[in-house]
Amino acid sequence: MKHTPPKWADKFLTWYCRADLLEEIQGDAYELYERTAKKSKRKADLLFIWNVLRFFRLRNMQRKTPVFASSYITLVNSYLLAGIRNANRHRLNSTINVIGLAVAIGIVLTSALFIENQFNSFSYQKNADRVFQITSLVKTGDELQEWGDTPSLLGSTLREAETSIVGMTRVHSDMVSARFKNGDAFYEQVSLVDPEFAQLFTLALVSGDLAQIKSKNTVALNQQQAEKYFGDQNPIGQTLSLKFGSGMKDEFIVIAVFNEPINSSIYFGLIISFLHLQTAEAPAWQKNTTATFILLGDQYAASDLTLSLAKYKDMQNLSSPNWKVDQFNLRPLTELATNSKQINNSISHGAHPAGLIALGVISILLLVVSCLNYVNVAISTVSVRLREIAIRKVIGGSKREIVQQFLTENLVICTLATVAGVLLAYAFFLPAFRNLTPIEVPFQFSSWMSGVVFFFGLIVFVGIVSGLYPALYVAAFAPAQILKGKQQFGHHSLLSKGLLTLQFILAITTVVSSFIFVQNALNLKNRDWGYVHQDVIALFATTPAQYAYLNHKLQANTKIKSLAGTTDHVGMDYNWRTITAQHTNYDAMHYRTGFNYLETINTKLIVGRYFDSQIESDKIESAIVTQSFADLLSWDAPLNQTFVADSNKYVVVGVVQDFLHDAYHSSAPAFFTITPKETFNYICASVKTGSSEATIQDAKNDWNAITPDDPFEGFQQEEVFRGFNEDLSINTQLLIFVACVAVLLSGLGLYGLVSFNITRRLKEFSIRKIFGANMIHIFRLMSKEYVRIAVVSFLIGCPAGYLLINMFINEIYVAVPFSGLAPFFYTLIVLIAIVTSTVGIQMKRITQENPTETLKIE
Amino acid sequence: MKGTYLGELEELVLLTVGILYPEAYGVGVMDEIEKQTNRSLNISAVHAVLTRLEEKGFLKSKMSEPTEERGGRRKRIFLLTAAGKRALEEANEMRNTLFKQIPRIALQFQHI
Repeated sequence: MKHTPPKWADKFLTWYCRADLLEEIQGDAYELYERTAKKSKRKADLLFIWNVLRFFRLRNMQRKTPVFASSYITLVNSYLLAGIRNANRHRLNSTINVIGLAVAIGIVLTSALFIENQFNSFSYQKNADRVFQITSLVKTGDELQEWGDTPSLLGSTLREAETSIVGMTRVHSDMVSARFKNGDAFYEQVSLVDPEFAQLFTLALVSGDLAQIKSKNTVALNQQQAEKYFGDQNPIGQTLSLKFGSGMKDEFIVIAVFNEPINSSIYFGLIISFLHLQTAEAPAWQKNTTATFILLGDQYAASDLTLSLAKYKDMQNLSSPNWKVDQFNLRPLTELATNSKQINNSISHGAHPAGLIALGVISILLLVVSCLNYVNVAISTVSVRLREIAIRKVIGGSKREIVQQFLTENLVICTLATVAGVLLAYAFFLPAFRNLTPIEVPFQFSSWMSGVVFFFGLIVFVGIVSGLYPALYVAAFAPAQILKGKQQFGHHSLLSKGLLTLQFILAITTVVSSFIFVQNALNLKNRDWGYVHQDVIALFATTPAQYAYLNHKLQANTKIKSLAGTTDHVGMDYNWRTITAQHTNYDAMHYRTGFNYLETINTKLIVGRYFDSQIESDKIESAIVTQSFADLLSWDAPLNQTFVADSNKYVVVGVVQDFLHDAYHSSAPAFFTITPKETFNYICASVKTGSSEATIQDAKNDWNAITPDDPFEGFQQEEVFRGFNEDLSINTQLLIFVACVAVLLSGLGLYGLVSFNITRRLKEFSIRKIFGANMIHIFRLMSKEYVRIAVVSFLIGCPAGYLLINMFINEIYVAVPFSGLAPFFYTLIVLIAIVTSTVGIQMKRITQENPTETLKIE
Repeated sequence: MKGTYLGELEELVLLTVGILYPEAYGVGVMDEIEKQTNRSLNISAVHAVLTRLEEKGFLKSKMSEPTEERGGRRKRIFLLTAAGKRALEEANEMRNTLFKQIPRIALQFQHI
C-alpha cells in the first residue's frame, strides 16, 4: 500500500522552498518517508514533518518575486468590482449581513469607547505618569486595608525633606453651603488644595488663573457652578460666601473658572486654599486629610521613595496609636480610576470593574454572534455561485485565487458594515448611552494610537472570523463534482443549524432575562410601602435652633395635619444594630425618632400602642418593632418582651406592619425608639391631600427668612426611591436593549437561512404547487426544521435566562418571589413571532413565483 | 570561489561523494556516512554541506533521470571537481605530514 506524507507539511514545504531546490529536497524527503513508512506510518509522518521543519532555512527559502504592481491592482480591482456586483445582486443577503454586523460593531465601538475612557480617566493630565497618590495601609483586625486618607502633615513634610518630590498637593474634601449675595444657598463639595495644585492637575481653564489659589479667600469653580451662581455675569472677581460645617463663614473672590474634565474620576467642585484648614485645625500627624498627591521629578521612580516613606510611618504611628499605618503606598494617578474600589474613602470614583467586564463580554458576545450569522449567510449565498467557482477552477484558477476573491468580496461587506457601525454608534448608541447613564462619553479615543489599535483589531477579527471561513469553504469544492451536479451542498447544514440554535438560545436567554427583570421591577415599584407615603413631606433641620424655628412655623400652617421630628427618617437613613435577646445576637435596623413620628408617616399598628409623650418610660426604654422583627426573635406575644441594643435595654410596647426601608433592603426587621429633639435631623409632616409642594414652598420661605446661608432641603416622601427607581429603569432599559439586539440578530440569521433554503428548494415547491399543494402545506414543510430549532432553544434558553437573571437580582436587589409564568409566555410569543414572520415573508416569494418560470430553465 | 578551508564535516561529505561515484546524492550520502562512520546526520544538514561545497567549487552537480521511488522526482547528483580532488589530497597530505612528525616515543605506550 502506498502511503502519503501529511498534506499540510508537504504544502508548507512547497510554499517556502525555492523553486530550483524544491525537486531534490522534496525528493529526498519523500524517499526517506517511503523508506520509513514501510516500517511505521506514524514514525514516517513525524520524520517527514521533522525534515520539513529542518529544511526551513533561509538558504532554502523562496526569494521574493517582484510583484507586477499594475496587474495586481487590476486583479484586486476586478475582485472588488465582482464583490460589489455580487453584493448588489444578492441585495437581501448583503443587507442582512451589513445590518447584523453594523449593529454589533456599533455596540462594540460604544462600549470600547466607554471602557477606554474609564481606563484613561486622567488623559487630560500633562504629568499624569509622574503623579502619585499616597495611600495608607492600616491593619483592621487581621485584614490590611488601604485608605485614601493620609496624615495632613505628611504632604508638607515630604515636600520639604525629599528632593525627588518636585510638587505636592493635599486635597481635602469637605461640604460647604455656598451663596451669592441674596440668592439661594446650595450645598457644594469643596476641595482645599496646596499652591502647587495646578502643577499636578492640569484643569482646562475657562477664564482666570489657578495659580492664585495660594492666597486665602480666593475660590475657583467649575463652569456649571459659575452659571448657577452668577448666571450671565462675569464670574471673575465676584464674591461667593461659603459657610463651613464648623459654622465659620467667609467671603471668597472668584479667581478662576474651569471645566471639570468630562471623564475624570475625581470631582473637585469648589477649589480653595488649604490654608483654611490650617486656621481651623493645624495639620498634624494624628489628623487625616482626604488625599495627598505628589509629583516626582523626571529622573526618579516611585520605588526611590519607599525607604523614606517607611521613616514617616514611624512618626505617624507614634502620634496615633489607635490608627497605626502599616505602610504608606504610592498609587499612580493613571490607575486611580480603575482601582478606586480597592481604596477605602478614595477621592476617585471610577466605574465598578465588574460592570466594565460585563459590558465588554456582552458586546464581544454580540459581535461573535453576528460574525457567525455572517458566516451562515455568506455560505448560503455561495450555493448559487457553485458553477462560477467550478469553471474558474477548471480554467486554471488556483485555490488561493478563489480564496482571495471571496475574501475581497467579504471585505467589501465588512467595510460597509464597519462604516455603518461607526455611524450607528455616533448617531444612536452613544447618545442613547449618554441619556441612560450620568457618565459623559465623548466620541473619541483618548489617543490616536488606541483608535488605530481598536479599528485594526476589529477589522482583523471580523475579517478573519467571518471572511476567511466562507472563503476557504468555497475554495475547497471539487469542480468535477459541481459540474456533474453531484456536489452535496448543505452537508454543512449541521454546522449552520448549530450556529442558529446557539443564537436562538442566546436570544431567548436574554429575552427571558429581561422579561423577568421587568416583571421584578414592576413588582418592586408597585409594592406596598407599608406606610402611607403620599402627602408626607420631610425637611432637613440639622441644628436644634433650625428645628425649633421650623417646628414653630409649621405648627401654624393649616395645610399640615400632623408633625414630628426625627433623627433617622424612613427611606433616607439605615442604621444596622446588633441586638441581643435570649442570649442570641441578631441584626436589625434602628430608627431614632421623635414622638408622633410613626403616626405622621401612617404606619399600620398591629398590636399594642404608639409612643406616648405622657409616659415617661417611653423616652428611655420603650421600643416599637416591626412584624418581621417579632418573627425574627420568634415572639408569639411580642408585647412586653425585652431586648438589648447598644447596651440599652428596651421593652416592646407596640408592633407595626413591615415597611420598605428602600428597595434594596426590602422589609428588613426594624425597631423604633425615642430620641431627644436636640439630635433631630428632619421634620416630617403629613399634609392635606395634594398640598405637599405648597407646604414645602411655605417652609422654604420661612427658612430663607432666618437662615439664608444654609441651603433649604425638603422633599416629598414619594421621591425617596427616585434614585433607586432611576437605577432600576436604567438597568431595565439596558437589558431590554440587549434583548432586542439579540432578537434582531437571531431573526436576521433565520431570515438568511430560510431565504437560502427556499432558493434551494424552489423547484421542489414549484412541482408541489403544480400538483396542488396549498400554502399551508408548504409553510409547514418550510418551517418544520426551524420549529425544531426554536423548541430546543426555548427549552434551553428559558431555564438559563431564569437562573442568570435570578443570580443578578439576588446580587443587587431583594429577590421578589417567583411570580408566575408570564415572562416565559411572552418569550414564547416573541419566538413564535420571529419564526412565523421570517418564514412568512419568504413564503410570499413562493406564492408570487410562477411555477412555469422556475421549472422552465434547463 | 569562496574560502578553500575544508571543515571536518565537509571533508567527510567530500570523501563520501567520491566513494559513491557516480551516484552521490543527498540521501545516499547521508546513508553512506552513517554506514561508514556511525554518524547519523539530518538530511537537511547534508544538503547544507553539499550546497556549501558546491559554492566553494569542490563539487559540481547535475540532475539525474527521474526514478519511481521519489514520486518521479529527479535527484541531484554530485561529482568531485578538480579543486575538490586537490582539496582532499591537500588535507590528506597535511594529515600525513603532521602524523609523521609525532616522535616515535610518544606513540609507545607500554613504558608508561
